[in-house]
Amino acid sequence: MSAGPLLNIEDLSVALPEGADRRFAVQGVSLPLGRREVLCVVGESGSGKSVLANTVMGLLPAPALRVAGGRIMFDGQELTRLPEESYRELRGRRISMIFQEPMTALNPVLTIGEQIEEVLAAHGMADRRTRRERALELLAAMHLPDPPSLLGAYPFRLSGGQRQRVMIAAALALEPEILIADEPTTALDVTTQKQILRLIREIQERRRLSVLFITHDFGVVADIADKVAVMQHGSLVEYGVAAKVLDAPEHPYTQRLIAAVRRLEDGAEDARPVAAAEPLLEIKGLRKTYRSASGFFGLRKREVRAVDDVTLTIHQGETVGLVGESGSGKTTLGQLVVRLLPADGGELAFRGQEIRTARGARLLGLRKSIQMVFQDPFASLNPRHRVGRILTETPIRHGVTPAQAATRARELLHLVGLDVGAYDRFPHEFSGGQRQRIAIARALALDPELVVADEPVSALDVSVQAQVLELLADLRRRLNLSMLFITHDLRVASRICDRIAVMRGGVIVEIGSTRQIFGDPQHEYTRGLLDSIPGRSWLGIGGGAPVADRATMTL
Amino acid sequence: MKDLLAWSRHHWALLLGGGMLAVLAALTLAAPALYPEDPLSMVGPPDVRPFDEGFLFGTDSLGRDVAAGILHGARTSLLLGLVSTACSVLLGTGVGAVAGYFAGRVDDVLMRLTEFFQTIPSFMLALVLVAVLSPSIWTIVLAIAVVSWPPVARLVRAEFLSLRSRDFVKAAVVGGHPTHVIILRHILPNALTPIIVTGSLMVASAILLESALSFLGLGDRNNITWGFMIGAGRSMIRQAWWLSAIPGLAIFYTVLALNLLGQGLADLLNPLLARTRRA
Amino acid sequence: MRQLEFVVARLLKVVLVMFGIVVLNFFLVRLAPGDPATVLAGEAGAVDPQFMSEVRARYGLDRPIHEQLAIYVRRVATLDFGESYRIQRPAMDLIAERLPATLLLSLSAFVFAMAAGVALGVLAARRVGRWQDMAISVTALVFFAMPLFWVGLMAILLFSVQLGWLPAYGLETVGGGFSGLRRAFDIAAHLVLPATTLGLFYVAIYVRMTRASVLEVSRLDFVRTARAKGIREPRIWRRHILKNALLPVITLASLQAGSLVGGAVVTETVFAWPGVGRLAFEALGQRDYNLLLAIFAVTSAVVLLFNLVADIVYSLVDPRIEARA
Repeated sequence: MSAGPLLNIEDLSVALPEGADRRFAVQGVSLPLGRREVLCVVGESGSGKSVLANTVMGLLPAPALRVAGGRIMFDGQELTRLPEESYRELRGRRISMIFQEPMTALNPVLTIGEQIEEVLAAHGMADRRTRRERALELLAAMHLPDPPSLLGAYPFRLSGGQRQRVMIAAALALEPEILIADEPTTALDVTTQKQILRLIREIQERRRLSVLFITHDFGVVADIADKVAVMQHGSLVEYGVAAKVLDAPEHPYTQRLIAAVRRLEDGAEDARPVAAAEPLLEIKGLRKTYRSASGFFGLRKREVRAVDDVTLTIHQGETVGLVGESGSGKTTLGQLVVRLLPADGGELAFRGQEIRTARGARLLGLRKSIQMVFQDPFASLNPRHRVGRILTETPIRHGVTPAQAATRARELLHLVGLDVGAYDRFPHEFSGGQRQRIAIARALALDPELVVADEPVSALDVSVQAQVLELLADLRRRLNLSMLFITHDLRVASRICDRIAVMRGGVIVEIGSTRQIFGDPQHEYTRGLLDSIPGRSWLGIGGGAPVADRATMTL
Repeated sequence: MKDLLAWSRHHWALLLGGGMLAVLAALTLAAPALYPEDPLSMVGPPDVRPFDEGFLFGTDSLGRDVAAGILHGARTSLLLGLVSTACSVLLGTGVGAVAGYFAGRVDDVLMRLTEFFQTIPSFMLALVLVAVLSPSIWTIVLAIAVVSWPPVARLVRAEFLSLRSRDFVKAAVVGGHPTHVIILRHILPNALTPIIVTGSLMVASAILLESALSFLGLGDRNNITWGFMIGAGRSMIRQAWWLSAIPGLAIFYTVLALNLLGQGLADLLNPLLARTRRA
Repeated sequence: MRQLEFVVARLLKVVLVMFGIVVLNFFLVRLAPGDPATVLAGEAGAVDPQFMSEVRARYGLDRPIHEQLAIYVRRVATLDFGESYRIQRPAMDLIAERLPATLLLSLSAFVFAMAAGVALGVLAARRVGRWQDMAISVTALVFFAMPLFWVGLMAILLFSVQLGWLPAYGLETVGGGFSGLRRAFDIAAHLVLPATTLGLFYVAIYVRMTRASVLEVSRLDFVRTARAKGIREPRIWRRHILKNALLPVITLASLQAGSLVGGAVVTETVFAWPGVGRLAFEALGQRDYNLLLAIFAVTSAVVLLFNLVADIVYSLVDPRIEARA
């Protein structure tokens, strides 16, 4: 019985409902999961990787998706034919699962304690006190602070990382043999992601667990996988030992994906000499505080200093990256620059003109010079307007004749690599990457000098990310654009930025050329960020001070 | 052809509701031709049972033709329902749009006001308003509008709050478009679907509200209404059940049709919207 | 102790809204065409000039408007709503006599609507797409489209006139002389038709809301998590789905409280139920505006009280309330 894989997926197919864009979500996939092995299933959105995970767990959304063929063998049992009650007994006891969204995966009206203890109760641990002790033990093992008071707390008090730890605690409560993790760190900040990955690895080694880890990120794969399976359009295209797949991929699709990731790390061309160029945007001592009232008639005031005394200069033709985790204030800073938000104090000047106090025609002039590209290309284009209107509306507002604007719009479509036929179509007829190209064209329609790009590639798949970044790099060269490039991802920033400013808690903690930041980070937080980049050693990033726990992170 | 069949099966509520309303509208328009006389005038012997002596729905104790009343009453009911709903949708959309777009203090004040109107018993307020201002078509429209705008305001506010933080609206702001253009051309068209759905359901509740007011004797005395007919026939319920039963069925038919239409519209427009948002 | 804070905040809000209603009442009288004194005195004033000047003096109608408002608010604060000029008795006394009957009717209807609505809504959601769901949804649609007073009349026609099962009018048998338990049964029998009539409309509303809410919650991530943990279905339904799905139903019930009272006015009229609604109907017929406005204020207060209770219940069920307050 100890020979052979613990879990064996054999020629599994899962059918999509009629009318979907393809017949199978998962098609003919065979995949073994060995004992004490971490198997990463990698793919872009729509590859069927999550459906695969849910099928193993017997959690397919009933009438919509169904197993159309193949078997899943686990410990001599065929899972796809298992009666529901037997499956239930298996779930949580021998096979457990954690999910992507820790914010919604916990029941908001039940205490943390109840949500851990119910697993124990469901699988026969009748004694209340034993359950409680076990829950305490588990929370402590997840390195969560103050387990006794956490038992009575409700999820809304916990951060995303803490919730994911609670999820893991509940999943491991009965020491299962298999843990299925469906993108468990995708919704988390990099530093939190690193901690969670380390925790999973630590537990996996200590408890001799087998892990089926679903991810889209080859960096994460490099950090955690023993074996790798790559999926595309529902089919398995490559399977093998991690080191081999990562360093010598065989299938062209895998090669393309890995190339896209690796290219991100190539680093920007050498920073161009910018000191001589004149300053375009000057930010001095800029401040923005969010105040929210809560409690008794709003008497309890809460203040968050989103941007706290920030000073930063962007020169003509320069791209400055603004890197930080969620809540660092980077998005707020971007919105202050384009006057989507009013600042509380400090100076904000574009070519010597104060942005903060501009009104009327002067503000309109500034709007013409400073444009913005947003994160989510599905939300940034008005769903009821045709592309032509999206591209011409604003120039017309700024005095361009409709005929000129239409001609220019067609030129822009060509410039961003889209067909001119796009002009008469609606946004929903385009893919994410194409939409982002339209959004970029819109930002360029006014011939701006400065573009604020807020996470412009974060919502896109890796291969599309690379294309859009290339487009941006190309445009900025050709049009001599300056850019404030906001991102949470150092890998992305390294690809396009001349200089990088690292932000945390509303403060810029370090600023330097991309090469300096990656090669010789000065601030401890920057070093931590660099160190948290998934797949760092595989990608050969950095040369920063070695961090003590690196050994546990890499294979 | 097969597609059309599948489509109609999926949207049966819309088709049924729409069809029922079309029939009602046709009858309403035909009323002056079918029953040219004033429905409040005596045209036959009193207390004729339905289908007797050529009276489809019988007559009341004064010899008035019930069928004529039903048809003429339809016009009053539909018009009152439409006009008062139009008023409250306009009012609610205005309040909700301003509250949702400007947020902050403005939102606080307008929402407290909305909550206030939503808390007070709306039927009582309508009743007091009509009674104090003396019953007429216009006071009834006013009363219905005053008590039914708050849900619209809340709905529109919620839509505006979520839409104004969407990136395409921010893009319009960064593009330098003035506020009224952003509200009217960028946000409002995207909020229209739920407003239309709610509006069609509100016509139904407006008709119910009007019929209750008329039933209590607060209707406009110059026009016959279904609620008034039920109220008048009420004391005769033991002898002449049809006097109250038939106008009630007319109300039921109309309100059911409007509810079906509203639900059908929601089904029709929402997935479409979901698709444009996600696809 | 944020829960207490929440309740105190809500209590203060109730007081503010009540103040708003009193002010609204004050201006409603002045909105009416003609002299406020005429409005206040109803038809009684038309005949007696001396009576009219008395009314003017009592309400300070010859003083500036803000003073009039102050007088009015002060009087209402001591539950003095003036007199009913028709019946020549304090309005508050008349209302207080009738209030218990209305509360009995409204609360019975509410409990019936809530219990039936939630039970049927959950059943429909669990059998979504099957015949039970269809039957329940269609029935809800039907009752949602029927005018309440008409349902009442038809119920009288069927159960009282035709079948003779239940009494149609009043709160108890006139001259029955029952006492104790027999009187309670007698009242209960009289209650069945009006409470069911009033309740049915709200059953329809709660069914739709509960069904939608349950369906929505059962699609949420934490329900999937619970299944992945191997929790048994009954517990998933009880603790995970229902506990969350009922929150919006509570909110809805609170919002519908005002409408329920309005429905009581009509229902009481149909069934000659001796409550505040019937009193309002009588006041209407006699153009006794002062009494009508007093009824409006008092019923509003009852609704506010109901809202407050609903808020407190909500705060007990939803731990996030302290984050929202």
